[in-house]
Amino acid sequence: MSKYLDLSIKEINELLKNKTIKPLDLVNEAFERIESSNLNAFITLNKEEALKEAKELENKEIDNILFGIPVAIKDNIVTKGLRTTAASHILDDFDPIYDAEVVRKIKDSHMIIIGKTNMDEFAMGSTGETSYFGNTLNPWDNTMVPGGSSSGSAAAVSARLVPIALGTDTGGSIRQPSSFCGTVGLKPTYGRVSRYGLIAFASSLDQIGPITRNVIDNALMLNVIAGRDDKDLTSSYEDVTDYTSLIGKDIKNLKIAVPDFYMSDAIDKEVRNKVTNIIDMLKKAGCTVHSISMKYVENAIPLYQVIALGEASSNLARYDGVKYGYVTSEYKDIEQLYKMTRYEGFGREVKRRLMIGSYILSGKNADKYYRKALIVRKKLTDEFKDVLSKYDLIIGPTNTDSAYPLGTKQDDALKSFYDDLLTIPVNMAGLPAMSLPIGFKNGMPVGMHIIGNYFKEEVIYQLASYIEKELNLNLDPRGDK
Amino acid sequence: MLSKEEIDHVAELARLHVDDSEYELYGKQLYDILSEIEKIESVDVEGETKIMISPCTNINEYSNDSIGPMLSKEDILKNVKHSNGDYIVVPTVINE
Repeated sequence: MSKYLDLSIKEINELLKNKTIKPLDLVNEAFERIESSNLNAFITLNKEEALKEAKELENKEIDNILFGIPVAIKDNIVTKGLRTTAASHILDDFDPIYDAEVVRKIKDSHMIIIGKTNMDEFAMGSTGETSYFGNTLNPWDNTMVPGGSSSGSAAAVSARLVPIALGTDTGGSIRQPSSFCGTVGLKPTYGRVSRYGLIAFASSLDQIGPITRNVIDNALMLNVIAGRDDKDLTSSYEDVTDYTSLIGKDIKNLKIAVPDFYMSDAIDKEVRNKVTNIIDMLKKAGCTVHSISMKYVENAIPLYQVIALGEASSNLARYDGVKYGYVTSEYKDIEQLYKMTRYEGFGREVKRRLMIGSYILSGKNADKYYRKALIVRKKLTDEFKDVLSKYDLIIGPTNTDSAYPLGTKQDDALKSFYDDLLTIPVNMAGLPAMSLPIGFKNGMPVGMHIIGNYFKEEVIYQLASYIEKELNLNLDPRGDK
Repeated sequence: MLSKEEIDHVAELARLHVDDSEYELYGKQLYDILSEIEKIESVDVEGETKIMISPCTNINEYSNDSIGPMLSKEDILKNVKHSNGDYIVVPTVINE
């Protein structure tokens, strides 16, 4: 088996340019690896189209660094003519009639879509276990959760099945699995990447972003997908920069804040120690690092439950068995058609969240819970803005701990929320943030959280590239193969 | 625990059927989540009254009032399970 997919994007690009390899070699290698993998990282493969596309590219000029690179797409991003399920029974035969804007951009860059990755159903979960298609396995230890909801994207990149995958992040769904699988995952600023064609979960929190093996590949992918899109009215007019521009640049003048909440007793001690070691490293490199306190971050869980579930109950009302998707055979009238279709089509986690969301937005509760949550969201966001007016970046752990065994507390309705304790505040404020691998705990990867200012993703990449180079970790779960 | 009536109420709001075997599990799980949510009520917001619905800072986004590309009937009906070729077929909605 060839090993081109073990190389960086830049190295692969060189080999393509000097005609040592063709895009077809990369595509064949990706499918060989996927087909011999036991991770269940993909729901649908795009083999026929991918092979066709690779052959067509042989007659095209290599016009950008991502030309011919295989990419995997999370299965809640629609792909024309390629089944898109959101890992739900209710969409298990859904055949989209248009491409998401990010997919259009990927195709314009002549990247090759290999398949659609496994995930928690409708991105609701933090372990991959709520997928209708069975859970994804963690490449570092198959008995451990890969994290979620972008489980398949993180696992596929970590196991080197593909060099790049897209994930989506509503409360931590790019960063948390990246932390558990040892990949670099970035949630861009809200509005930086078009959500057109993303199957909506919570529209004011959702954002698409890249998951890669290293920092520069991540920035290269953000270069492709970032930018204004008239089809998404929340898409920003802010100029797009070259996100690789600060990679490798001196970090000595960076001012960094560490919220004490992110280093509290709620976080595993070994994880905290890893972050402390990085803080020491950054101080030695000349960065200013201060411990700060933030008052509103601790309200992340109830805030998320009200806002994300409220929005979800509205967004998922569209799955009614009429326009597309699964339809029950047990109905006498339209009400029963809705109720039975949704009862049979959605999994337990989704149904639980929809009931809570509908309840929160009903009658007097809208004022009691939803309006109050929007005020707390404002306070939390103002607090972040204040910190980021004094500091360039905020750092801490991505998660409270490293990956835990599959099947842990599956009946605990609060578990999946608490996994996102440190990542949710970032979605509330709409800030960009990355999870970067910084070491291992008992052989499982540990991720560090780097939160940046609005539309300043390049500064996150600047710091991340420094830490990545200094640590020089072996992030191949297959050992020295 | 949430009572059967309370579960039926929230399930009705979400247009979900609940099987008899699920009441006990949902009763506990929904109670746990709602207890967590109650915490939002006691957060001190220091007199703040302004809300934030979305981090989006775009102001007054309007679409042009012009005809753009449209989907074909075939595309629209492509994923419909019950159709007569021109329309989506659903059970009768209006009682005579």
